[in-house]
Amino acid sequence: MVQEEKIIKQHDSGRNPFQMPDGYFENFTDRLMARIAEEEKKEPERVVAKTISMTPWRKMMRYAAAVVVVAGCLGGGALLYNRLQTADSLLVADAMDFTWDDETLDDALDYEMVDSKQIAYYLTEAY
Amino acid sequence: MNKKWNEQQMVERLRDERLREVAFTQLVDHFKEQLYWQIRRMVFSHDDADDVLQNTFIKAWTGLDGFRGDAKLSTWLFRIANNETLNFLERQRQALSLDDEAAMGIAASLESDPYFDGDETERQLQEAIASLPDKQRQVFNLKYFEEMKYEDMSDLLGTSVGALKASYHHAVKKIADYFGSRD
Repeated sequence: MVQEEKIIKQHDSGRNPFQMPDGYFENFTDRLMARIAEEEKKEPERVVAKTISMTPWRKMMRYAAAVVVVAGCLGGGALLYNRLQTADSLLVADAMDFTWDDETLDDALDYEMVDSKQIAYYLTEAY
Repeated sequence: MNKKWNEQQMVERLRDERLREVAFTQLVDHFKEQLYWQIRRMVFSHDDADDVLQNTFIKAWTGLDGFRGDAKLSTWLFRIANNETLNFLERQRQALSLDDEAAMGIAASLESDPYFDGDETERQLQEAIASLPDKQRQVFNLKYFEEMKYEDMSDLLGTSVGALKASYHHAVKKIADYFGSRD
């Protein structure tokens, strides 16, 4: 270690070879503070949450409005549910009227990728 | 440096919004030279050191509210400067790897640097130091040039004394080997 440090010392003049422009440190603080002021101007204004104080009468009005909105949502939901129920009944009725012809059955089997061996298997008692 | 430095008083003034700007100006005046040299020995060029130093103080200014006073102001500033320097070197390395012509040796770039007044031997020493990994170079600079105690370095860098000693030992060996291969 000592030997290695000696090698470094042989290549080190002991003076600082780095320099800087004249007056660099004298001007640095002013330049920096000017830059900080500049950057702070660029920053967008903060959005501050606004708190509004309400009188009891206004509070009551707002609660009432909230109740109306909630009731409206619930009523609308119930109406929509009834309509869907009706649509379901119609679909069931349609399905009961439906009859399977050969062409429809072939299409359905192709779609499901079921071959004749599988159909035969489904028709046996083993299935 | 100002001999009338009072750490506790300075912290209180930095926390007081009415006194903050004046106190911060005094803080900058007090630490700018010390931080400049720590940064300059890592980045080599004056312009780069100036950029990193300004960014260090801007980060400190914007982070003043987060300074809890657990560490000394000098330690806090040194750590910001350290992060800024390492980030700068990483960005520089990425930029240079995209442009091979720009990735010339540090000795060649110092030769054309108007703010480097060293001869060939001094340029070679800087070239050897530049060949070290960033963190090892930092330990070498603090120990060899600043003659900082390992205990103080450990506090600043958050690394154990043993690890710092090993790091310095490796750095010295590598630099000696660098000269050994040239002589």
